[in-house]
Formats: sequence, structure tokens, C-alpha cells
Amino acid sequence: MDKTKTFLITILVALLFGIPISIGKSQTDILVIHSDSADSTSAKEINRGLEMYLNDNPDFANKVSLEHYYLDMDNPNRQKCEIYLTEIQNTKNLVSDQKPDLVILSGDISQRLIGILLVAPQSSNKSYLKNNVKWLSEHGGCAKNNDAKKKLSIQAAPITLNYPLKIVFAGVTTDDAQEYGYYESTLTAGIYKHLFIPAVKSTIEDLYNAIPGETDVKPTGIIVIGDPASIASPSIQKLKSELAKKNAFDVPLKWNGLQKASKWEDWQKLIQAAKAHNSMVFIAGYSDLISDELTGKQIVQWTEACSKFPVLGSVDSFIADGGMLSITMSGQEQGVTALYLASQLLSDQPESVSFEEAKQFRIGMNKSLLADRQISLPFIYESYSRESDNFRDEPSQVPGCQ
Amino acid sequence: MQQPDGGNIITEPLPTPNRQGLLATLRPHAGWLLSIILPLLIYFALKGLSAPLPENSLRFIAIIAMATAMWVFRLTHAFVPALLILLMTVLLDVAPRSVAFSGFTSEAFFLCLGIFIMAAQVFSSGLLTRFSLILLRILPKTRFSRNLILFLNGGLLSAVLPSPVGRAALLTPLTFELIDDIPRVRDQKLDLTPLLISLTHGATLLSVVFLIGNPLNLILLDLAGNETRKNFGEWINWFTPSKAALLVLILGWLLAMLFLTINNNLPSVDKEKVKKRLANMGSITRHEIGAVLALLVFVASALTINLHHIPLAWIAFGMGLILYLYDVATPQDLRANVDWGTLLFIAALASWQPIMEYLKLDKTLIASLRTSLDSLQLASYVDQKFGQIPFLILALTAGIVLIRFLLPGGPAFIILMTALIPITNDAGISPWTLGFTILMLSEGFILPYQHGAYTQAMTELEQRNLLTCYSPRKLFFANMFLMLTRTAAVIVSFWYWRYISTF
Repeated sequence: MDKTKTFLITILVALLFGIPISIGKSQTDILVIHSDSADSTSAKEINRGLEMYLNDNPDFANKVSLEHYYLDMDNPNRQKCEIYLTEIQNTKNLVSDQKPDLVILSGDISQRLIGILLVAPQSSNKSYLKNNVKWLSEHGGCAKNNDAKKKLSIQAAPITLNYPLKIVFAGVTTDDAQEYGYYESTLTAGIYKHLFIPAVKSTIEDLYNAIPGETDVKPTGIIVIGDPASIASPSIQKLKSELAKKNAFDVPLKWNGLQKASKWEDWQKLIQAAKAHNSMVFIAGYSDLISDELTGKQIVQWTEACSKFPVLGSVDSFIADGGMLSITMSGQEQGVTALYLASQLLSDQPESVSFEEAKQFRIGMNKSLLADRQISLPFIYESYSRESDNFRDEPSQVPGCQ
Repeated sequence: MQQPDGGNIITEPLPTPNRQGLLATLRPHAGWLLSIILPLLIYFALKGLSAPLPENSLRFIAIIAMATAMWVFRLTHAFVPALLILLMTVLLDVAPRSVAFSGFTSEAFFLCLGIFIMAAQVFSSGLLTRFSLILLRILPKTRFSRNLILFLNGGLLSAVLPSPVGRAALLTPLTFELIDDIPRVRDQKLDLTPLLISLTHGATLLSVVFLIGNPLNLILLDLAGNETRKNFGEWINWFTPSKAALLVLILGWLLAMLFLTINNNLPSVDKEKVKKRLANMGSITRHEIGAVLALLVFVASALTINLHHIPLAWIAFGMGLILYLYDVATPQDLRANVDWGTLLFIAALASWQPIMEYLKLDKTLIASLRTSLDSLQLASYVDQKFGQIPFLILALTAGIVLIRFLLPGGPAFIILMTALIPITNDAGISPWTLGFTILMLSEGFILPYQHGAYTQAMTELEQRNLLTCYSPRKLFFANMFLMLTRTAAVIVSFWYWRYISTF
């Protein structure tokens, strides 16, 4: 082959490979790290929000390339020290390999496992890092295992990157984002996911009014039951401070307090006690109770079957697990806002970006279970739950309270 | 690389026709009969259940049953049943064409196609022979040198060529070139056993350690989902957790060699003859330069994915085409030296996961295994029962060895992986961990018919009239020992994964 021909072919090859590389380099890479699996309600909701924002902002959509990584922590078998260590390592590798311009961290675990390690290099205050290692030790069981504990404190070390990584936290459930050290960096933004109390209050009242019969057959109070983590969450604590006030409700319901159950037997006792006290039940969360022997479905279906009055839940998967009515904060809004904040952080003036408070809530409904209790809610509930893609019409799969 | 008989490279050739006897005559008939009856039986048995699966799922399971019968009885080349599954999936409206044939657009398919083109060019260029002769000249004059060359070549090729039998096809002629210089003495039988072990295991032993060492590694990534692909889908990310296994496997081979070469009667290498042969080859050709450059660019691109962000599949595919742009590969390479059977097999296997997902069969499988999985309490093995993992691996080895007497490696892996993938969810571990374990064990072999590389070596011995030049007993025990080495490699890997936090 003559030299000119070889030279021309080399130019062609360089162009064929060079052009895709240069196009790839000009795009802004966003890595979305989800706490849950791709099939989870929360991840689907967030992704719907992300997609919605990209569809509405085609210019931004053309400039960015979105990659997703799912930590799969909604699987209770993965909520353990060894898997935490593995995922810390995996995501560290992922971030240092892919070098994204911005990371969106969705959900509590991704923020605990990864967020803090990403923020830390941009801050001088390391105290929250230490606190976080403590939190992870307690929640993943590393505290019981000395080797793992030592490894966690080594592995949960900040990721050192040689460029300013921007971070958006979606679905922040803590009271204050500073717990994760978010304010330590000017390159972070986020959206809180706190329960919207007026919406919860109004739903409880509508549900009360929809229970057939006179006041004497209706509940006299409402009790919040959940696993320790959900009961301690800022949203539920705020709910308590608002609804425990005298005459908080516009219906004759009194606040019967918060009750936590760390074991299934305790949970069952609390549900029976609520029945005895003529109380409606509001479920704050039950993920800590889920184990190899007990699924979320079993918990919710039993609770629904054994409760005297309709049960309201505040968990994303409540309807999928067999619940009747749920009110949660909208994951879709989290997705839309996360990308809006990302676009702001990636713009020329990122200083003005801060944390936002979620306002949109999401209703979930299983019409068949409502019908079983002869409850007819205003039609807007059905229409809104259908719109939120959280509507079901499936009869109860348990024969009764057993 | 294609086998001399034109057979498929990751699967085994058909039973040899000279095996007569009643059993051998009845075997294909029984196989064909079962291929007809078994799908119907399974279809109607499942349909008769109180809560039957959806119609499309029933049809798919019946089609799989037909293919499995064909694989078990080795009625035809392994890629044929795999393609029949896709064909019937479309004809019976089990899944749309875009889903059924999605494997043909998978990264695994393009990666293999590109690398096969490169390998075909390397094969025809004569580069490997020159490289081996140079090694022979450099290495000390011992009986071990030839074995080391074979194993080293096999190991290096494992890092870049995704076909164990393709590597064996490259190494087989080399093996006999390495003994060409030995003067034959009348009535003296040469003992080729160590060379056979180095050839067959050099081509196969390290295939799971490197991402592109085996096409089934790529299928594993397809089956395991996006997260696994992100964590292990790059050459270096696959290799890092495989290092412990690599060490154990090399150690196992060295021990086997120590035992086999101790009383071996092969004379050591005649350096003068090697020099003469090298001189006869002349100076390095344009095709050899092309092959070296292609391999270097490919390896460099694979190691720098973080910089250019072009997936390995497109690099390989691109490199394959570039060889043609520069005229260093020929259409003849594509016709004669690319293993189309394996390529079709890979594409067909890569379609399994999309079809299963489309039919939601993966979820059905998990639900149906729920009770048995719950009783196993798999989640506790990662922490509380970690010390019991060796027993689990030994049990798995025993099961896989038995299955491998029936099924070829590729189908055995895909069926086992599909059936056992729910375990990863229950144990909370990555599907890669399970896939690596199954692949490491199912790629092992004891008898010649169990692996194409082994069969190919035996065929070559037969053609060269050297069938009496090895010890079947020693070969059997060496294969058994290396099978156990694979088990040890998996067990050690579990400790290593715990150490580097890769579950």
C-alpha cells in the first residue's frame, strides 16, 4: 500500500473515532445514583420527573447525558455492612471512572453512603463524616463486626477528584441538610422530601368523613405507627407537633400519639391496641421490619385486614404492598426539581442555587379495598391517584385477620 | 477460530460416528424423540396447573425444553437449538421480533464479531508462530519450556480473544510445531500428556479471569443487568476481582506440570533448530505488523475507556473494520477463520434475558422459588455464615460436574444462571459473583467430549497418528485436579471479594 493512501486512511480513521469522542466530551455527564432498585416506585417516580424536565427543556436535554446507577437498597437482604462496603467501593470506582460533571443522589442511603464522601473533599469540617460512619455502623450491622467496622471507617473516606464535582440531593428526608454536610460546599443543591402536613390533615379528615355511619361508630382518634427510623424522621416529628395540638382536626378526632415497633410481634400488638382504642391508623414506615421471613406485603395486608378503621399510609410502596390509601411526597416533583437545580448548578452562576422544599404530594388508592369498607372518597382522590400512576382496583388477597 | 471439522467453538462437536454399539445407535433416536415429546409434555403439564402461567410463557418454556433435549443428546451443533429458540419465539408469537432477536444488536455480539475478525487476521499472519519461536529461543533449555510457551500464549490470548476453542485452534498447530524438531526413535513413545494439558488448559483455564476471555462472560453481563455491567463491564474492573482466582489457577497448573513433567521423556528444545526456523520465516511481514498494531491499539483502547468513553464493543468492532481499511485482513480471513457458529450462538444467548424480561418470566421464577429460597436463608451467608461458603461451593461443584456430563458448557451456564439468578436477590449479592462462580466451574472438563478444546486436541492427535503418545490415566487425573483447582479458585475468591468489598 502506498504511503499517501495509508496517510489518507489514517486521517479517515482518526476522524471516524475522533468525532464521536469530541461529541461525547462536549456533553455534560450527569450520574443519577438511586438508593432503590430500578423497579421501585420511588426510582420510577424520580425518573418520570427527570424525563418530564428533559422533555420540557430540549436545549438542556441536548447538552446532557444521563446515566443511572441503582444501589438496590430496597432489598432488605442488601441492607447490611458487607453490601454497604461493596456499594461504597462500586460507586467510588464509578465516579472516578466516569468522572461525571454532576451527581444526583436520590434517597437517604445514597446520600449517606455516597453523598458525604463526595461533599467532604470540598469542605474543611470533617465531623459529619465521623457521624455518618457511626450511622452506617449502626444501621448496616458493621458495629457488630470489628473488621467490617474498621474497613468502613477506611472505605468511607472521601473520594478525591481533581475537578469540582457538582451534587444535587433529591429526596432529603433529614430535618436539615447540614446533617450530611451539604452546606459545606457551594457546589451542592437539593430538594427536601418532608411530608406536606396540611395535605395529610385534609386526607385524614376526608377519610373520617367518608367512613359510613354516625359519630358513635366512627374512630375517636388517630395513632401513628411505624418502625423506629420512620417515627424518628423529621416529617413524622413535625406531623406530631402540628396534629397533637388541641383542635388540630376539623373532625372529632384526637391525636393518640406516635408508636414505634421494631419487631413484628410489637407491630401486631400496636394494631390490636389501636383497634381497642377506637383509633384510625396512620402508617409512617415499616422497612426496618422487613426480613427474609416477613415481606412488606405481609405487613401491610395483615395490618389492613386487622384494623378496625381504614388505614392511611405514608410509604411509596404502600399501595403496591396491599394498602388502601396513601399520601406521600411526589417523587416526580423530586425528579423535576433535581434536574432544574442541576441546570442551575451547571450554569455560570451556581452561587444562587440552594435547597428547595417539596410541595407536591402523591395520592395512592386501591379502590377495591375502599369499596370493601364501603368508603366513598371525593372523586378527585381517584383521579389524582390515577394521574400519579398509583391507582389499583385489586381485591384483598387475605381472607381476614389471622 | 473455526475448528478443523467446522464445528462450533464454544460448544462440543457432535459424537464421533465411529462410536458404534447399540447405545450409540439408539442415542440420537432417543434424543430426537425426546425433542418432540418433552416440549409437548411440559406444555400440557404446566397448562394443567391450577394457576397456569400465561400462554406465551408456557410456549417459551416448551421451546426451551426442546432445545435442552437437543443439547443434552448433542443432536446438532449447539448454536442450532439456540437459534431455533429465537425462530420459534417469533413464529409462535411469544415475543416480538425486536425482542427475540435483540441479541443481534447486543454489545456482546459486536464485541465478539470485532475480536473474531482481529483474531482471524492474527491467525493468518503467522505472528503467533514467530512469537513462540522467539520465546523458545529465549527460555531455558528444559522440558518445561514448551509447556510454559503454550500456557503463556493461551493466557495472553485469553486476555484478548473471547473464544477458548478459538485459542485452542491457534495453539494446536503450535503444539505440534514445538515437537517437530524432536527426532523420532523407533519403538520409543513420546509422552505428550503435559503438552496436552498445557494446550487444553492454557486455552481454557484463564478464560473466566479476563472479561473477553470467554464469550459467556459477556453473556453473563447481559443476564446480570445494568448495575453489574457498570461495575464489571470494563476489562480492568472485571480483572480486579478475578486476581485471586488467577493466582490459584496458575498455581494449580504449575503443580500439575510439576507432577506431569517429572518423568517426562520429551527431550528439551534444540535451540539451533529454533534459530534456523526463525531464520526461515524471514523478516516480519506487513500482516504481522498489522496484527501487532491492531492488538496494541485494542488493548490500549480497552485500558483507557475512562478517557475516550467508547464502549469496548465498538472499539473491537471498529478495529475489525480498520484492518480491512488498511488491507491487512482479507475476505478469506472472514470466510475461513471467523467462527460464525459461536457468533450466532452468542447472539442467540444474548436474547434470553430480553425475552425472559418481556415475558416477566424472571419474576415468575423468583416467585415460584420463594419458599425454597426462604428456607435457605441465603442472606446470612454474606455475614453470619460466611465460613460455610466453601461447603456451598463444593456442593455446587458436584452439581455442575454432573450437569456437565450431560450438557455442553454454554447451555449449561445459561440454564444454571437463569435458574439460580434469584439467589443473588436473596443473598443480596451481585449477579456477577454467582455468574463468575458458575462459569468458573462449568467451563471445567474431565472427559474429551466435554470441551471443544479437548476434543480438538484429541482429533489432531488422531490425525497425526499419535493417539498412543499420552497417558489417558494421567490426563484424567490432571483434569480432575484442575477441576478442583477451579473450585479452590472460587473459594479463595470469596475471601478476596470480602477483603476488597466486592459482593
